[in-house]
Amino acid sequence: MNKQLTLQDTLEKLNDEGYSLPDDYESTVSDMVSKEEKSESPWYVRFFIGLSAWIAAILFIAFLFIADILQNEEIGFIVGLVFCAIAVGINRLGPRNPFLGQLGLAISLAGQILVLIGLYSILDYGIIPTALGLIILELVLLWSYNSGLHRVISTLVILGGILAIFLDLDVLEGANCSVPLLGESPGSGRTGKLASANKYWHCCFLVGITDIAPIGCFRNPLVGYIPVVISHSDIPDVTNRKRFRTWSSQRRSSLVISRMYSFIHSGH
Amino acid sequence: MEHNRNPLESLPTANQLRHLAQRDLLSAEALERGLKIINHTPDREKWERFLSIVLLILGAGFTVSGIYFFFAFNWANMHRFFKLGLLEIAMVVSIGLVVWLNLDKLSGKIALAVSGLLVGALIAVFGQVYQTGADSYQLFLTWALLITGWVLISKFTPLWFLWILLFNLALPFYWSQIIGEINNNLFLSLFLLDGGAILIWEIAHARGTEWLQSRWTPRLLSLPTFAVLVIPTITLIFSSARERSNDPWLNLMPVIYFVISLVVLYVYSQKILDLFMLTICAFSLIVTFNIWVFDVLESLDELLLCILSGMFIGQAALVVTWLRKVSKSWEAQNS
Repeated sequence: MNKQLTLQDTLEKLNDEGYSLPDDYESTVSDMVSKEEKSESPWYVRFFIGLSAWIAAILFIAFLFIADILQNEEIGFIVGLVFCAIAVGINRLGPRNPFLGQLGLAISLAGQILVLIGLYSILDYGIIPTALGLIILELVLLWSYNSGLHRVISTLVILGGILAIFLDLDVLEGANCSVPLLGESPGSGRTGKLASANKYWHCCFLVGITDIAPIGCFRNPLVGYIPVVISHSDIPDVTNRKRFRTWSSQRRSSLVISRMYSFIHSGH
Repeated sequence: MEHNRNPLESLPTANQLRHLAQRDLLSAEALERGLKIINHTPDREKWERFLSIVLLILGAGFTVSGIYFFFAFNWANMHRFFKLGLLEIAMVVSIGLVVWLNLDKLSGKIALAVSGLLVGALIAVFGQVYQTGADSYQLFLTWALLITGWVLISKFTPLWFLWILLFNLALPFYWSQIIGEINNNLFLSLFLLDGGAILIWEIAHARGTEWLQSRWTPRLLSLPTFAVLVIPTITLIFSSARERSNDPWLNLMPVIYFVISLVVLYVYSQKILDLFMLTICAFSLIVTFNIWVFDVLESLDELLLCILSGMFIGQAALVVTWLRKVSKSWEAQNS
């Protein structure tokens, strides 16, 4: 039976094959991998953390409202922004500490909910301005809050905001725009932070969710589903930006083709 | 205990290579090649095998659902002999496939699973055609009993799941239709069923049974097992003294729950490492404990919500810290 390859064997093999590695890669890699391993937990542990944070946030908001601490939505909006700022501070203070991680996530979620309620009231219950305001907040959090789980939540809220705008404008077909938008997001901006190791799965997850909206737009759901299956069959690694962009473009093309097919067959 | 092993000596993971690529230690091409070296990126053969299995499972699933819907849609237009005959022919064909393909192959096992699903359709059609007046629990129980032999010879986890699921459906229907109320005896029965299945799986797995490798079988079964222990415990928390005296099982179930929790925490942290089991157990304990606190400190009104919020964060953080510690300790032992 062959000896199983270690990380060192793999890197040596890459070096032998001509893929250049820095001279001091052994010490750098050893230090880096130790640090990364410390911060990694299985998905169900992260789900448990997220669920607990949500429950804590909802309980805290219920307390604020029932105790009449937030006398109106405007105060709630300001308190929400303060909460988000505190959450970012906590995140910067101890990004790898489980307790601070929990606390920061719960406070951030509580803040986001308060901002949403406050914005909705301040902006005269307008869906589009509220969604835009929320998207801006989430973009700031996406940039400032260093946590994979929090970034997934922020991206989902942004996606929800975009879909709410399209729904309000009665152009659900516009939801297709969110697919390339999400597809491009990992390859742009602060790649070092945004494209974390887990980003690959986050991206697959988010793209999967965005598929729901385009499928809903098709007259024939089966026709809508075919390009989705095709495009899902080979989702490349997002750290390889060039491949990812190619894939993203192919995906868009397949969606356009199937939209045209559906349009022709619907008799319009 | 030695905790500082050299990461370079560990088995490489795709995540590790991606981290290195993000820190510009590996180029995009080197990452792609690295993923192939560690067998993360599937080659042509693996893709073909994957697609073959997916299409086989989808095909079998769609065939069975097609048969179910065919009967539902054309019910009024078919003679009863035609309905029964069609299903029996389908069963004979699928059993013929099992014999032809052999149970050692996945395709043979899936054909047997299809036969198992068709048995349910046949019983349902029989019950409707002759208006037997049978209760729902009888359908699921008869179905489960009739396929027992196939389940035993199949060595196929999905068929075992179907079998356990059928008993899980039969029991609540029996309690609601025959006994007339959902009580703690039902929860105890479901616990014995699902907990017993986990125990048998673990024993068989420990003895090296070849087809019982995926840990997702006991993990999935742990969800209903903990649910049927937590529900009566929460019922006890909110019950009155009179209700407690009337139902002796009500006091017993929380005892079973805490004993089982201790066993699970010990076994899956000391004997077999399974963070999923530990997470589910810990989460159920957190939920139960906080509900108990809610009941005891109800007089604090809205302040209680604030306290519970903080408690939830603290408890979850403690659990995560402990889980990491357990995981590190196992890694150190195995290195």
